[in-house]
Amino acid sequence: MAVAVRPEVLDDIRRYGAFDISACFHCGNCTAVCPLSDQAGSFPRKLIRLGQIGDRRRLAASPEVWLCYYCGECSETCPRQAEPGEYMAALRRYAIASAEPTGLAGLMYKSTGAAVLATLLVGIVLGMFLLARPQETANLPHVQAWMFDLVPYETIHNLGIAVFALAALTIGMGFGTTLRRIWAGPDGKGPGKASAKDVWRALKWTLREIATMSRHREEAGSSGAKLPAWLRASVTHRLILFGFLGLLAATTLDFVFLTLLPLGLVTFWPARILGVAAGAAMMVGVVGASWRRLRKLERNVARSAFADWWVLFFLFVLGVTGFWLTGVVTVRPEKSVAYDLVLLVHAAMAMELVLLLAFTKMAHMLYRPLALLVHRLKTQPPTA
Amino acid sequence: MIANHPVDKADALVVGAGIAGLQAALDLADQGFQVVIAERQPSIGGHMINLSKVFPTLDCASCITTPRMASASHHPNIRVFTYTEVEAIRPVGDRFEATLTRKPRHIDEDRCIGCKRCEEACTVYLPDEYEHGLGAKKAVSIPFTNAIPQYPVLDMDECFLCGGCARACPTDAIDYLQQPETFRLEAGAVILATGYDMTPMDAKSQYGGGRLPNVISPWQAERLLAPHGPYGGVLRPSDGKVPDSIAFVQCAGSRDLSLGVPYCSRVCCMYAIKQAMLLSGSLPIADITIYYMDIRAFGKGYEQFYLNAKAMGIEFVKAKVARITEDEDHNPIVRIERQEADAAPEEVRHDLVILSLGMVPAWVPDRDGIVPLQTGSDRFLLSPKPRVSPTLTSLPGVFACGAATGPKDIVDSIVEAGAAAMQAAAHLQRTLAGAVR
Repeated sequence: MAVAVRPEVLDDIRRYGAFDISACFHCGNCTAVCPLSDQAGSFPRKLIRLGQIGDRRRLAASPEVWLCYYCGECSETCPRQAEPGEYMAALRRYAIASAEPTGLAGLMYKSTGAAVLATLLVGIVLGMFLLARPQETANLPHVQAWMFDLVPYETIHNLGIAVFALAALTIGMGFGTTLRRIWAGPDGKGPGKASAKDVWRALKWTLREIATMSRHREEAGSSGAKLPAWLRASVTHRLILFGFLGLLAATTLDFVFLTLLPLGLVTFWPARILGVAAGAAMMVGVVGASWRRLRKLERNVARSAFADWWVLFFLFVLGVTGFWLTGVVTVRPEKSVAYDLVLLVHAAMAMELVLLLAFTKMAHMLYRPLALLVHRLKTQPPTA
Repeated sequence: MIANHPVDKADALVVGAGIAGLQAALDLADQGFQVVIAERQPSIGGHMINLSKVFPTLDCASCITTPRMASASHHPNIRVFTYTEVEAIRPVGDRFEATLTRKPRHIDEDRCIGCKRCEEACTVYLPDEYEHGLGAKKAVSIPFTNAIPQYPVLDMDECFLCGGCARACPTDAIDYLQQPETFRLEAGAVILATGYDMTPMDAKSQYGGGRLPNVISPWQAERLLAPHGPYGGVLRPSDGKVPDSIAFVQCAGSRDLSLGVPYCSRVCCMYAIKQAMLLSGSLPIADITIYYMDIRAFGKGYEQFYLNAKAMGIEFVKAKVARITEDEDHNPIVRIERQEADAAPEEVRHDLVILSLGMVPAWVPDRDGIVPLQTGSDRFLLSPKPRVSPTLTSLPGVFACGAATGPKDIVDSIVEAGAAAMQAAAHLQRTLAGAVR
């Protein structure tokens, strides 16, 4: 199929990360050195080619973008210092931005100022939305009154609802777009006919891969073997993932047992214990991941984008405030102004992290499993 | 002449007796200057005497090297110190004072007649470094057949003092207690022809880290191809099988920042093509593949040489080898991606793989603290005028030639050696005013 070359596409992708992919002369080292690249999912060179000719459609439809875990061995051994690993990272940001309909994500990746501004604006709206709810902020009547003088309750309420609606819309559309593109694949043919049983098998494999991350570990074995365990990418990522999921479960349990069920409980201890353990795991992971980036311990963290720090910053502040709040309610159950303020920040940031899912690096939680599923459907051995 | 006893004065000191050092020494000596050669190996000849043939003419390497070795070792104006380390070179006024140490061979050179009786009597076998580990030598042995001088070296670290060699020696030349001998030499000019080393086989973990027996260095390939090589033919090291499928991995030690060698080593394309041609002569039915990024055939007749190799049926595959592993029979497997439409990583099995290693300086003067000279970021010696006077160094009176100044082939090394000799002669004429003569 004839494809018109569009050099401006590569210029656009270049704004999503630091690399010099025009230096690539296609020796194939990156693809051949990659521990995850195989017959069914070949990268990074194929994607470099697509980027160089500017084939936007096939780039967006390539699940390979999400198969890469960025160990950095391709960048380390690239004879042209073209940084193929960094190119893959930029492509993931590009894919997130191109699947998100408002264009805000693209703006946030390309301009740090825009990202800070958008984060602050959404955060302030969410904070005001929470502050307007009386049951959350019993100790802050003066602040509340001052705020209502400034912005009427209706406006705050509507703004908050608008943010929720926008978030739901972008997450839904981003997921739908990515699913449609990746499912069809670069040739537009899809993974072929798959029986429900095959899909179920692929789904099980994908869930197991998310839980064990065996591909990630395998890949990290080559470059990260010399680091202490808590500084290895596979370990920090698993700590953050399971910490995050554990906190999600603890919050859900708290909601069910303290709010939904009329049990009259003040503290639901299983959820509290799970929450503390998961929070601690996440914080170790976040500190490890930040240290890796600060000290540039490996090739894959040698260049950190604002988008990488954004997630770590959110998780770090959420962890610190979460532990502070847990400590306060455990030691001294009566609430104070400081408690309410910290709770406000904590709740607003937690909401923002989830609501901006389709805009930030967190989107990989949706897209990566999707790509793994499609990849597995294409490659899994047929049922005997 | 081969020198067995210290001298205290010379017009010029040439460090290194490879093809460049020998050429520079001969060019100076032929003009009447008194030259001292210091060579750290027990024989002169450098790396070139180990090679089988040279590109692009496929001339015999020994046939070019041995006449120069013989001339230097018999020239009335040359004193050759072998097995001698240069400890320091210091400028003193217009001249230089060099500190040289003759390492102990544990042989009295004045008595030894090179009869090899000691070697026959010795019962200790060691890997032969001249054969790059492919053959064996005795703990007391003459380095190789056409070594100059024909003195054996007794390796006291491996010797278990059975006394066999001392009893066998007809001239009573074995000296177990011989000590190093340090002496000073005053010279008007210095020529550094200190040559190159190759990037180590274990440098790249992706290529098996030196642990795969059938992945060999180009030096080992030269020995397999040499008529007087260790096995008398091309056999692979692990099991002595005749290889049917042989692959060359280009840029295995060059253009790779992860090895700290970002530069091109210039000679690897040509020596791989040469070795491939020689292999197809030795093993006419073997499949020979060269994996490359781009072929750099820059010299006179080199491009034609490359085209000839292609016409001979040597397969050139444009792909950088990313990994080398092996199967249970020690057959190396290379992982590559071809440049084709539906390209994906693929693994190709071979019987023998030769890594085209890169060139690094054999001797880094400022690191070793021997003589304060500027080196480039690549650690090779740096000329203050690299375009117009490539043989100068940052110290007036010290000149450099051959692979000491950068990766270079034999022809260019010989040309540069002549240029360095000419520069040194001019410097001596300006400063010497008959100090020695």
